[in-house]
Amino acid sequence: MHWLDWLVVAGYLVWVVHDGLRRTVGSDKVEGYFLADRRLPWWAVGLSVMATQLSAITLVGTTGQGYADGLRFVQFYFGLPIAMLILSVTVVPFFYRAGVYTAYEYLEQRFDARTRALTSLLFLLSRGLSCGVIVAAPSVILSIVLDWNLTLTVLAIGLPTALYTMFGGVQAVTWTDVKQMAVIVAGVGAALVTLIAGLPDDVSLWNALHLAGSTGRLRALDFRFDLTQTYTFWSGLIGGLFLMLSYFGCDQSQVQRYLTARSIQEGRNSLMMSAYVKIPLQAIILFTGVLVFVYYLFSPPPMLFNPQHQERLTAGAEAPAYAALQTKFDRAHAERRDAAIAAVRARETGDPTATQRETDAFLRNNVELADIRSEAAALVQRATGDPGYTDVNYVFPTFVTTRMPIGLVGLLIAAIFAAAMSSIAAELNALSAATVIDFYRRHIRPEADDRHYIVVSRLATGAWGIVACIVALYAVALGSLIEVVNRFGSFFYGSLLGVFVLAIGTRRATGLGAFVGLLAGMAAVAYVAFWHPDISFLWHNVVGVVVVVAVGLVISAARPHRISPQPGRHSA
Amino acid sequence: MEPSDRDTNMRATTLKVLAVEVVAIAALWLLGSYFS
Repeated sequence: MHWLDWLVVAGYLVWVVHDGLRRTVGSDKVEGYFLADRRLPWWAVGLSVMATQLSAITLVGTTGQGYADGLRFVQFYFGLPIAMLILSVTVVPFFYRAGVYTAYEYLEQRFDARTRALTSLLFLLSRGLSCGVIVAAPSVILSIVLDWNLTLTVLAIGLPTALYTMFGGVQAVTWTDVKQMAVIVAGVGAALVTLIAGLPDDVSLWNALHLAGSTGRLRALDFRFDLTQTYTFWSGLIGGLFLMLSYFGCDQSQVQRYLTARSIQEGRNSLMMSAYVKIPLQAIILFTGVLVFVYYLFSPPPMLFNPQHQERLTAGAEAPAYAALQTKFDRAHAERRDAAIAAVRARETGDPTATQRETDAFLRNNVELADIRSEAAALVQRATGDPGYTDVNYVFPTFVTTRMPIGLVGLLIAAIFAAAMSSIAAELNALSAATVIDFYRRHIRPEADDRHYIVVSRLATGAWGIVACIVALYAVALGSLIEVVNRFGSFFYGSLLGVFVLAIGTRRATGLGAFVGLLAGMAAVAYVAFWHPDISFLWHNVVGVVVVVAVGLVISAARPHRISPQPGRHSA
Repeated sequence: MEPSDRDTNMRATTLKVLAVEVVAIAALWLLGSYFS
């Protein structure tokens, strides 16, 4: 990396850490530290909500999906706007009026201490581990693409984030999120401009998009109702709705964001920002990946985007086979490039028959090139013993580091850092809030002053930061751990939403019903995940909610020890 | 703000959000249909 790029990355880190540490002022009370005294403007909270959701793996993974598969992944977000509307009229006013710090605190007001402790503990376990994964995933990619030391990369992402979150609390999280969103949007914008400017002079963007469209990459919608397909219109709209309701309504890392807003209305407005912007933003990020595909039609791509595997194959026993494949790949790319140009020329003539003929030839060449890449991937699978090998997450970072101009490389690396740090900071702050408010203040030291709780909260944030870095270092060594962590989160998400549906949606549900329902929901999701692995994970949340609500209502009806009051509904 | 004002606001917001989503999905459908 050029020294100017290093300077941009270092400048970003200094700017963000300095800005975060400045927020220490006003964070000397518990409410200031965790909720910014409920005085943040809706637009800052809204940007923080979006920055928290958009992790580094979303940024590089989504562009990679766009490259390999086109815009289809955008369907994943179709349930989000509806989820935001539902949350705006349900949990936002309930949590706000209940005056809680954590979502789980509300469950004690509604049900009992046991349900609060279990849900908060599940959040701590799930998010504590996933925070490590959020550090690990971009660290692995950056260390491989830029040949950096992996441990140092983990520490470069994890420690500055833990530092400013520890001292600045939620104010630091929110205001750095605002800046980090600006860096991410600037980075994606710079990539888009570079990609469009990188097209050959005699190929217009319009004609290039026709090429991408002919491969199906611009076809975003799939209306098939097929439970085994991960991304369809229906899985995104229904399964995605439940996932987003769980994530934004029951996950403390998001709930804490809108609890910092000045009023219920501003909390709602902050969620509405995502409702309006999220689908277009994700479509633009995916579209960037599609343009990377278009760019590599005219400029030779690497056969494998993960340089570590490329080096391993060229140096190992597979070297002769790999070299032969590379020759085939180079020839196939040259043929595909020529076919692409011929298709563009035919379209310019306005002759539909010639356009169709040349486009068909281009598609045949495209399939041939994809087949050669699959053969190369099979070589990697043989050499590494990893049957699930894919280099999708390396496509965008490889493009950035090898094709973008000096200075902009630094901006994009800073954007990847920003995406990772914004998610990690929100999670560390939320983990600290759940630890201190739901356990330490509730069960260990209920009667201490704010100064004491602030010290403990900062220590908890720092401790969770260290846990995240340690988990990250283990996660990169044991690749399968990432999948285990993601699966654990999916067991718990829909079921937790079911508990909140019982809490807010019905007056008859009891603490026992919610507690047993939660356990039954998690067991049901585990059953579906292990015994019907072909069912897309987006449907797990639906299963969790339905089972928790059904079991919870049956148990509550069987043992109706009291009709619980509903905090928030009647209070000011 | 009176409760009825809040309800009207929320109804208007709901309609706007749903309209934006429908327009976004329609735009994606048109994009896929045109460039295919």
